[in-house]
Amino acid sequence: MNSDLLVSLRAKDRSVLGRAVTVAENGGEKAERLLEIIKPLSKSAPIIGFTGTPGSGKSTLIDALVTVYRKRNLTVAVLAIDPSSPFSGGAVLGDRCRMNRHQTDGGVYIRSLSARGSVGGLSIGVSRVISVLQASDFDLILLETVGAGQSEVDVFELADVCVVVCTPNSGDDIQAIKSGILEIADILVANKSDLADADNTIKQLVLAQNLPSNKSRHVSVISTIATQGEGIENLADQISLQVEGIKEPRGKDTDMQTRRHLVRAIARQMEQNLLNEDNPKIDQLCASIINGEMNTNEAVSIWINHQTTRKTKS
Amino acid sequence: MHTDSPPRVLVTKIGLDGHDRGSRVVATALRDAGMEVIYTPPWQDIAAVVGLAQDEDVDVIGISSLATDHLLVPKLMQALKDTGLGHIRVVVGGIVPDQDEQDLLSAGVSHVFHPGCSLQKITEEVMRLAHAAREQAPSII
Amino acid sequence: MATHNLKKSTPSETGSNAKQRWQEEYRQQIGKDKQAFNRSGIPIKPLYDAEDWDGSGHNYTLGYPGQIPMTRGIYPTMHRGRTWSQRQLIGFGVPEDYNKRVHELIKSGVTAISLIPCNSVYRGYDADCVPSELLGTCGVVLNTVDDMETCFDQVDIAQLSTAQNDPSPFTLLALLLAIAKRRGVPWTQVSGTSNQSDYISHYVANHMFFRLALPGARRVLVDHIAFTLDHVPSWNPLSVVGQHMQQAGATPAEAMAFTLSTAIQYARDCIERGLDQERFFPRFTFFFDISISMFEEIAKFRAGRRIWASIVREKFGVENPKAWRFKFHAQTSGVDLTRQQPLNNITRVTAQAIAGILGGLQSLHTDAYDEVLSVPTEDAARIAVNTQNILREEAHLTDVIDPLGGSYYIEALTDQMEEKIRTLIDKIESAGGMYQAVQDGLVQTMIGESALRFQQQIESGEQTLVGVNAYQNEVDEKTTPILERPDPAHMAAYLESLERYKRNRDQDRVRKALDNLARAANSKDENVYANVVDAALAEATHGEIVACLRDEFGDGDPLIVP
Repeated sequence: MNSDLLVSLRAKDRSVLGRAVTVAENGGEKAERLLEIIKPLSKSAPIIGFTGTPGSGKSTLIDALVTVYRKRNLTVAVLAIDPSSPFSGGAVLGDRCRMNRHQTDGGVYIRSLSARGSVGGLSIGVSRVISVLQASDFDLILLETVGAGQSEVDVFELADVCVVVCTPNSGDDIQAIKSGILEIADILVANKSDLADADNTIKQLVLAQNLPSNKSRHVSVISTIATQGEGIENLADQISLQVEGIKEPRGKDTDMQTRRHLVRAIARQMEQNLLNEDNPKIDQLCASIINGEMNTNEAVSIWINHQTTRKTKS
Repeated sequence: MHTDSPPRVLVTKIGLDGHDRGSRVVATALRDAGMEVIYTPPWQDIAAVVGLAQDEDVDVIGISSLATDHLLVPKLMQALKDTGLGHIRVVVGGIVPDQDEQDLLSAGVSHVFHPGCSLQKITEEVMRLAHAAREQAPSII
Repeated sequence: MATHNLKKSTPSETGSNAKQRWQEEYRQQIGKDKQAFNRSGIPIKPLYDAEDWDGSGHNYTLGYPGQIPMTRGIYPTMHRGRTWSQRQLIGFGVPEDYNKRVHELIKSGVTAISLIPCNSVYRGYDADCVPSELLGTCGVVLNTVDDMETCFDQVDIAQLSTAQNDPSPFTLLALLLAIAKRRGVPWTQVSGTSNQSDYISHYVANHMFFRLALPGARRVLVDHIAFTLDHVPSWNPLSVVGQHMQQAGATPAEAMAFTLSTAIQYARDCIERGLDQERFFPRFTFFFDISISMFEEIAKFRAGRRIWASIVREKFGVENPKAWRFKFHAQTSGVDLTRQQPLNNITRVTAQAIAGILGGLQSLHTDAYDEVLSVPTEDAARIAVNTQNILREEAHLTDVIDPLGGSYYIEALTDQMEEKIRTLIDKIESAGGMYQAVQDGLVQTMIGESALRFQQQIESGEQTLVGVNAYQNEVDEKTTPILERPDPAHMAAYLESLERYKRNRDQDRVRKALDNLARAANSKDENVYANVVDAALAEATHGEIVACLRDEFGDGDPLIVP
């Protein structure tokens, strides 16, 4: 049965792949078993992250990009993540069908992911799903997020190449994108560059790449008109260049990125544990806060002291 | 089976009509009831719906029909069976004349919701059907 | 015999005392008084008096019919002179079926015809490109000049005003002009309306009429207006549609505001293209939904007339008084109709129609009671027409112009609706105008929220729906209208004739015409619509023309907003 599963995944059998993603996303013992089974298959397709506020046209952009990749005979998996959507995660609404023309193409897999169902935090769920897609032998994995909220920054950090999509007429876009995302961007796209004020956006983007933390890296700025397919080939080329780049020795930035990613993942896992397990000390601290005996900050200090002493004792 | 995670429901329209007020309101109600809703624009064709159902691993498909697009649903039922997705439950909502309702039910549609049906009834029924679908979904490991 | 001398009966108290006493008695007797709101969210009081509207601003807010501010009507005579056009939507089966219905309707007193094509036509495809089960079930299949010829066989198209339910790129008008040319009818005598020219409303409400990507639709509309102004002067090239948005869930105030914002957008686009505003404004028409919220609808139409006149005159500075007229067609709202106890819908449609008539409409479509059950049957359609006949000729609704004018309630409500509508128009303006606002999904989000709110009011019982959440029958009666489906043999014959048509025409001429159309789409100096008409004259089909423009302008991708 396990070998069947491997064969089906490798052949990109849509039903099996769909169900495997659900298992991975949901986590737990089943997901671990699945990951164990597919381990031998895993390769490392580059992961390209895309973010941008709603209305930046990032779905249309990804749609156009998928078309370009298909022309280049590359298979593509797209994970669309929208934890902030009022449609409870899973729903990516219209975005889902901007990509509809690829729906019947066996070389393209598109999946909407919710934040809710995943145990251990969004980014951990997403990384399990990515393992399934790696096992299914896609040439490229595209991750789409709306760029709001810390959990999305975490997801974005899973990407090898990070693309931030902006539009003219909405200078606020750039500010609206969670800081932290702009810092890790590799490519900035000024989409809808046919609109008035496009030049200004491009200037702003060029300025933005001079952020102190970006000094050691080269960030390219590309203008596109996704609805007309303009600039998309160029974007695909830039992405390939960046993908080549990751194979080079990792710099200081990447070390910091890995560290940040790890620490956040630990924090998230601990948060889950503390929220879900029975813990008399936490209960006691909560009671004290509710009774007005201490504030949250004081409770945090007590908790950290308590943890340190416990470790010293053991 | 992953019975503990929220049901996944595809809410869509096939055929030629575009009136989507009803499907949007229903999608919102299903979301509020804790389900994960994959919502598409109208005008899907059957192959696209089957592909979506596979990719998104949904438990229930809800088709909204305000004109006569429900006449295509028997074809969808056949396509789902042919693709090994017979466990997925299909419901239809909108303007479906009585004669057509009989045809849809015999083609395997689980339920037809008519105008005036309460959102609560729709969510309860979809929830129930989602759980039934999961009982039957083939296991991969 | 007791004498009833009204002059002698004087009030026992002075006005302010009387009001105070009424307020006290009202409070005592009403028990728990629930604050009422209309659908647009305006709080409604139990009684209105001179404190709400004292008539002092009469000349500014009311005036006289046919005069600024236009509140009371756009013509001096209104329904007392000429009643509204009875425009029934029809379309079913193959062109021969349609022609039969047209002749029946003309006999039953209908003065203008609305043509409803099959949904395949709406989506921009020829009949041979869609699942055949769906053909002709919601409208007539109509793809070629020959089809149009059959639809209006033995009908004098110079006499009959036709509303073509014909979205961008307006192929149906092009086909109509082609048969006019064949019959030797000058285009100057062809009259009617391009009923579905408002692509913004299609985009917002996700209508099947949405065929081309927004920028392309924008371009074709302005060219269509320019072309008809020059060549088909009796044609109304633009009907700005509030109906789609209200059907999609917008409140009456929202629907009016978004429609006026859309009209402002189109006017600006025409001006930018160099069209003369004194000429194009008079050809703008509007199309609204009439819900069953009677006074609110009446106030909506009165406020709309007033706002439009002021926008055109003051904001755009148009001097032609014809341009200030807010001409509108209205359709009773299908959203208010219920599947349960469907005959009740006749009453609902009657109430809706009265609201539209008292609101001063120019043209009316009444829904058939069985619309919620299926595509309307012939019997139900006849009752719908007769509902209009009864209201017009039996009910004395047309004796007095604007009969509710001067009512404390109606005037206060008209003012409040105006304020609400103007606030919403300002909101759209500050979002960059209607085109930008729908691209950003702002309008769609507002409509979605209103739709959900209304549904929740029904579910909570706050809004009564007879037969649905009140006065239900114990056993829901089986509602089985006789289903009309097109005869499969007729449809098969139609598909054969379409295939023959495509095979037997001058292919070079078709190809050339489509090449010209594609070239025009990419050139700023040419009129795209003139090339659509040429393509129809060259016997290109509806689907071929739309496909050609889709290739150049892009598909109409819907925007779905949470």
